[in-house]
Amino acid sequence: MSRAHPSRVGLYGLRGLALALSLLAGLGAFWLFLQFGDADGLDILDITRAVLILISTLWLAWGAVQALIGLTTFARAPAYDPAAPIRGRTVVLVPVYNEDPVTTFSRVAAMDASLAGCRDPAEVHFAILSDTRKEDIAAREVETFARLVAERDGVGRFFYRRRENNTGKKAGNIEDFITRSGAAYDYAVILDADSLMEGATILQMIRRMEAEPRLGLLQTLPKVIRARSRFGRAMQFSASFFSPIFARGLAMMQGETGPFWGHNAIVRVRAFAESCGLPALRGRPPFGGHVMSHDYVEAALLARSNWIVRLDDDLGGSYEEGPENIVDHAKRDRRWCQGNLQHSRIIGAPGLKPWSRFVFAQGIMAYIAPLFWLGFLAASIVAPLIAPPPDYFPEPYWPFPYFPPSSASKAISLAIGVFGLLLLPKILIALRAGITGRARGFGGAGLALASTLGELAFSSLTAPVLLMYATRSVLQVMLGRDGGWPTNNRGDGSLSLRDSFLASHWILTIGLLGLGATWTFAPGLLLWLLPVGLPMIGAPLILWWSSHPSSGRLMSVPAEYQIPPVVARHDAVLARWSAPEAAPEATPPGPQHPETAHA
Amino acid sequence: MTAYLFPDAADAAEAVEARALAPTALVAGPCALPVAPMAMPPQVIEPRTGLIRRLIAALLPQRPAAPSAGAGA
Repeated sequence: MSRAHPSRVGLYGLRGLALALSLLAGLGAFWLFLQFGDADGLDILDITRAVLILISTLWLAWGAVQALIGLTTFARAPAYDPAAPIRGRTVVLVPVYNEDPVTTFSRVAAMDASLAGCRDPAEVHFAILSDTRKEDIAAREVETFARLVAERDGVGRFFYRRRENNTGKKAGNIEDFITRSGAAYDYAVILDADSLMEGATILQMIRRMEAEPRLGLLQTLPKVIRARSRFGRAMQFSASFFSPIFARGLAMMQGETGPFWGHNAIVRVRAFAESCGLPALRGRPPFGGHVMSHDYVEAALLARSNWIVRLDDDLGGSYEEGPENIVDHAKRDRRWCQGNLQHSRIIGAPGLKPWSRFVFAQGIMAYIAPLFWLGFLAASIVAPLIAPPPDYFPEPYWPFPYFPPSSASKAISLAIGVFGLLLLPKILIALRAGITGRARGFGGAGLALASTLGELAFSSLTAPVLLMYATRSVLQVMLGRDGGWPTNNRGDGSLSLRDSFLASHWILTIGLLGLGATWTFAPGLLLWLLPVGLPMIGAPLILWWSSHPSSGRLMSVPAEYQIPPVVARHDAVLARWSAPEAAPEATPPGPQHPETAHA
Repeated sequence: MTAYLFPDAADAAEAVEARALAPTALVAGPCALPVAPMAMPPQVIEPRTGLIRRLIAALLPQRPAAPSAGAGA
């Protein structure tokens, strides 16, 4: 009853085609650059730059090809009975770590109310797994949990436990639950503290698990919600408008070796327990110690044990929240960077499926790719210093000067190709959304196209800044250093100019030095490097501006036009729980929601 | 389906009783995680030797194992 995946030959053919197209683009860029460099004679720096552009273009092309493949089909549900009675017992795991309990636990109340609204007799419990280290927050967690249980009539369905120490962080938290209580459940929905899922989605995930006994993990595609800042809304639009197409391409290529993104997914408890026990890696951090990006590893281990790991991108009703500013994004990225680089120790683990190894390699490449671009830019600035001066009189005794042919057309072709790889997939996604009617959810075809162009402009502005943060993260991990971030932002995510400057003055300095060096050593390159250099110099302003609230309809997403039911429920519970007069003691007993308590 | 049986904690009388509990007693009592252990054996997630050592081992000629004591006697 599994999804009608392409045959094994078809799957390998698709992967081969994607790799071949990417290689073709990379080799094309390599060849063009060699011709460009050959105008004044090839030297070692030209060849180095050509190799760097080969790797960088290959990486860009891989992403573009993924989107192009995703554009060829539409997400569809696997073959299963969406009304089948549910036999197994499920627990929704909500790991928390120093989060605000009112905000987090009100999500649980909203999801429970959503489940109750489905009037399905399935047994679905909730377990809040606290790794909170701050005693005051832990005390509030217990009080808020009591309120949650009282409101949702949750005795026997809601559980709370706090670990004495948070060994292994989130992976250790889940493992602790399984070794303590795993035998009580058939399935576990794993969430993050900021996850929200419709009850109907949870029930369909359980039915899909029951319909396919070999399915070990089912991942949904969560949409980012509640973004307010310019940066947050750009990310939200991108996740809602572009990501489903990229994910479709990924889903088509991965077969039964799908991804796990750590949350908004369901696992078969027995499969997870027997396959995903994670020991600490040999040696000390950053490469040794506990596995940081455990989700990728768990997906690979399930696949190694021949369990199906699947991304069901047709399932809606799955939400998460994202960072509201570039600093928070970079902080999160710093953790992910260390986790992904740590996978270099796991990529050679015995018995892994080749696609799992490839996924690890992709994850590593995602963080080291900026280094190749930076290397290319640095080499381009230095190149004129070692290039021989042009020889206008190569023929002895010939009275007329010889002007070498201009190779600017090759450089322009290369630039068009690289920008094409960046822009084309997004433009095509917008065009298809206009044709298929998907754009209606984003305010109509015209607004969706305008939002796409706006997102492209916004990401062009922020890309050099993010590139610098990613580069710093990689270097810090390699040197075993900590991030060293300035003070936290305000509650709404907006950054002050001072904090923005503190977080990015080093990017400004590098931008100034880079453009200064270009002006001195390679003035002909200055115009080419301005799109990278100017955003770097303006980094503090970009951080500050992008963290402030966005107004207007540009980059609207469907969840803003029509608030999803579970989000509306959460808003209502949160508003009630946050009201000054609503102290937990004042809570009347019994459920307060119109829906009866869920089974 | 799991064979584990939950105590009938959702029984109305017990639920009313549970509501009367202090929050700390609630999380230590009826809302503590069920005791239903499941083994989660640690997996092998890294090669026994590093990449460099594996490459060197693959390139170096393999010596025949030393004969055990008494071999050929």
